[in-house]
Amino acid sequence: MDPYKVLGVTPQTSDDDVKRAYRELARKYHPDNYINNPLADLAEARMKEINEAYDMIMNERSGKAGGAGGQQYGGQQYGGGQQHAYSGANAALYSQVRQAINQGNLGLAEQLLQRSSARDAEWFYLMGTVYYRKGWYDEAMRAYTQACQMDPSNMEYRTALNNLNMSGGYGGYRPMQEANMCDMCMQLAICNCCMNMCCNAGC
Amino acid sequence: MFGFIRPVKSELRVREADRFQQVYCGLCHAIRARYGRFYTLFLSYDMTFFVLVAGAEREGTPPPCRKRCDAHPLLKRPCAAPDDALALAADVSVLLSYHKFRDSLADEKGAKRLLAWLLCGLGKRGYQRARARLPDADREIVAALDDLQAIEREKCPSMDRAADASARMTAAVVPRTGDARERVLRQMFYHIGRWVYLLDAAQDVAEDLEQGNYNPVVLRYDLRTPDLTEIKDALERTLERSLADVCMAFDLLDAQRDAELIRNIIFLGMPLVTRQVLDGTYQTNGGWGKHGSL
Repeated sequence: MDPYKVLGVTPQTSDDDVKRAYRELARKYHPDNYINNPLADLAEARMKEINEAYDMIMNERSGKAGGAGGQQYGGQQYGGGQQHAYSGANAALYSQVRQAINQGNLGLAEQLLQRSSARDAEWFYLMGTVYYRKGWYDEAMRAYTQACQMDPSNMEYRTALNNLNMSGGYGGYRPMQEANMCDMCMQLAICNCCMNMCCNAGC
Repeated sequence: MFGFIRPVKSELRVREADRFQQVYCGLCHAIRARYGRFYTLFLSYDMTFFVLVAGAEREGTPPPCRKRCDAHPLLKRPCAAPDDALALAADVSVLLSYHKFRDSLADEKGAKRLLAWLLCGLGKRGYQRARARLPDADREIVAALDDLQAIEREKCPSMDRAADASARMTAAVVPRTGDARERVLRQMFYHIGRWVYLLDAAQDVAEDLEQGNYNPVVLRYDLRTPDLTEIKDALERTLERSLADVCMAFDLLDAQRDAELIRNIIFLGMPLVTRQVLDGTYQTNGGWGKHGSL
């Protein structure tokens, strides 16, 4: 791997510009932009490559062999977060559905949900997530909205709905203003990412 | 497809605008060389975009060649040199055009139906040749189109379900390479297809209401009048989500050739057309007098 090529810079580029190029790429491929996206694994691999390239360049320049090369984005672990608190009559079914969704088996998840006769808030939330993963954003929005109406206090549902409504706005995609990236957006993105880590981990 | 996919010319460099025109002309010549004049009549900006994306992994653009054509019989115009991206796009154009005729034959009534029948007849031989070249793509398109027609018959009120069938049709044209690139392109073209279908439905609301045709946007929002003001935001949001997915997929593509031109189309052109359709200011251009001129 040529780290300079990965970051799109040359050995003559100044440290500041390397850092800028790195940040720009890290913003683009940040895992938060790819939540519920079927290409999330590819973005993650790209992010890893970018981090490695940045480390290599910075280590090489500071004459160190290994060690930290500055702050990094995107290394967060998503697993292990808060467990969802559902404990209703369909708990067993819903945990099966969540498992299917996490494994990317959307067909199975949808089948399990359709077969069940329950139509509670959790059902709509899970159905919304299946739709979200499939890119059926209008159906996802309706299902999430329904879940939030049925259980307004549930943060997981609320976060999912917010995510769906907002990521079109600034999750890596800003139609007319993509060139002037401001720090504000970055901070928002990081805030958002923290929230997601806490609230989205279950599913 | 419908011609929604085009660059914002004022934001293009001169050489990028030239390149777009050359690819458009190159595609026309590729279709003519492989399938004869008939299918060049259905050339579109959408397919020009497909050529750009299909060839984006190449490094470097070969110099254009100069050719004469029916639209410009006197002066030779610069055209993109033939390559396999152009050949693929020519095959795909023929498949999609033919299935569009077939779809119209199933949907339309009266004079339009007669025209569709005529086009089906005239296009049949070309279609058979294209099908022999891309059998898998054709099978997938046929299956998706059958689904779409069933969905239309049962007057399905789910925008996503209807758009899904149409989107699978556009995703089907991605070459089967079995690698990450295929996954990225499929995701990209799925959401391009979803966007085109829903935007086209929004554009046709007035006409479909008047004629009582199936229209997923009308059914989803239970529209009685062709006024989109109230549903504009919701519709824009769902369309923007698909555009975001197109952009994010494109970011993973590692485009070498024409990257700036493609970026212009998906980051500027498509959002612009979305807004224009939703606030009713969209104008089709191109068409007869304006071959390849933006």
